[in-house]
Amino acid sequence: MKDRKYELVVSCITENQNSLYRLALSYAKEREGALDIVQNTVLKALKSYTGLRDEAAVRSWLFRILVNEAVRYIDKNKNEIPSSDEAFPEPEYREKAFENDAGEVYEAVMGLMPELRTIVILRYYEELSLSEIAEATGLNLNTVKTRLYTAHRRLKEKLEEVEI
Amino acid sequence: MRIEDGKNIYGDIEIPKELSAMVDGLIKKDRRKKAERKVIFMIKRCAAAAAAALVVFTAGLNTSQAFAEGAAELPVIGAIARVLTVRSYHQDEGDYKIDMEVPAIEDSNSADASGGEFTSLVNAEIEKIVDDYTNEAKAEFEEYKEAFFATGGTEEEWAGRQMDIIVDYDVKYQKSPILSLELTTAKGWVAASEERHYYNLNVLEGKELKLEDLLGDDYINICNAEIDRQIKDQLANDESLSYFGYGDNELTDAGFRTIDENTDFYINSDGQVVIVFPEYSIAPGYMGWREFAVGEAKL
Repeated sequence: MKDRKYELVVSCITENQNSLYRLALSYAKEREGALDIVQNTVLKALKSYTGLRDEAAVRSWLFRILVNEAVRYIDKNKNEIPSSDEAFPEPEYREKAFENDAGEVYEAVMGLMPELRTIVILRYYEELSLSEIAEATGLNLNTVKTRLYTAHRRLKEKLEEVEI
Repeated sequence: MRIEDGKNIYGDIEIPKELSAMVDGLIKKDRRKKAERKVIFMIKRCAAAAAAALVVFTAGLNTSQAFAEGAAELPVIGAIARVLTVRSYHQDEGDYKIDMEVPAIEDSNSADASGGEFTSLVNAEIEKIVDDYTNEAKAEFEEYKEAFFATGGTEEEWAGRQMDIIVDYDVKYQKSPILSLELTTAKGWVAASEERHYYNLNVLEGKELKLEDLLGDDYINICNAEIDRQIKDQLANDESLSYFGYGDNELTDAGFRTIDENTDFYINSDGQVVIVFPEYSIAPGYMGWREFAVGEAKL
C-alpha cells in the first residue's frame, strides 16, 4: 500500500510538472529560479510522500509544497528578484496572439500581490476548486473566498470593464 | 473581459526543455534511494518483531505480578483483562479487499465491579462500530458502482476496481487495571479516509477514564498550553509544517482553540496522555493526524 502511494505521488509530479513550473515562475519571475523551486518541491514531495493522507488530494498537496518552497525562495532571494514583470509575460506572445484584452487581464493578475495572485492562478488557470485551494494554501475556505473576492475587486479597479 | 481570458497566455508560458529531464532524473534517483531504504526498513521490522515478542513476555510477567498484588490487597481477585482479536477476516476478491482484525476485551473471570458487564458493553460497542462502518462503506461503494454503470461506464473501464476496508487495533497502554485501546477503521477507493476510536478504561472499576481523571481539574489549561507550545515549536523547527491559525495562517478563524472533555486521547506506553486531532481538524490535509503528548497520566 505504501508503494501505491509513492507511485501516485510520482505520477502526479510527472503529470503536473508544467503547472508546477508556471506557478513557480509567477513567484521567481525568471526561469532558473522557477526550476530551483520545482526541484526542491519534487525532492520534498518524494521524501515526505508518506505524510500524504488523503490520496484524492494529492494535487493540492503538491501545490501546497510548491507554494511553501516558492515563498522560501522569495525570502532567500529578496534582493535579486526582478521587481518589474520582465519575465511575465513574454512580450512577443502578446503581440502575436493576444492583441486583445486578454493580455491586459493576464498582466493585471500577475501584478497582484502573491497571496492573491496564487489563489487566482489556482482557481482560474489551474481550475482547482475552492476547497482544493484551501488545502493547497493551508488557508481555510472562508479566507480563500475572501481573498478571491479581494482579487476580483483589485482587478476590477485596475481594468474597469472586467466582468466578475 | 473576464479573468479566465488570461488562461491561454498562462498556459502558453514556455516550459524549459530541461524541466522534464530534471524531474525524471530526480524521480529515478529517489527510486534507487527508496530501494535502499526498503532494505533498512525490513531490518528494522525484524528488530520490531523481536521486540514485540519481548513485549508479550513482559505483559505475561506484569499480569502475574498484578495477580499477586490483587490477591494480596484486594478482596476481588483478578480483573486482569486481555485484548484479543475476536474476528480476523481477510478477503481479496470481488468488489472488496478487506483486512479486518476486530478486538475484544477479555475479562479473565468477569470479576470487575459490574461482573463483566462493563467489558461486554465495550465489546458490543466495538462490534457495532465495525459493522456499521463496513455496511456504510459497502453501501457507498455499491452506489458508486451503480452510478458508474448507469452513466455508461463499461466493465472494461471498471477494470475490477476494489474498495479497501481496513479494521485494526492497537493496544496503546496496558497495565492492570488500566487499558488504552485504539480502534481504527479505514476505507479507500476514490478517496481514502480513516476513523479512530479510543477506549481508555479502568477495567477493575468498570469505567471509562476521562481527561480530568488523568490530568486533574485543570486539564483543559494543561493541555491547551502544552499543545500551543508544541505547535509553535514544530513550526519553528520545520518550515514544511503548517497549522491553521498559526504563522502564515494566523488570521484565519479555523485551527486549534481548545480541547474539551470530548477530545480524543489515549495513554501511550510511557504513561503519557496523548491528545489526538483528526486530519483537517487543526491543520491542512497533508499534515495528517496530529498527536500531542501533554503530560503524565495520574494512574
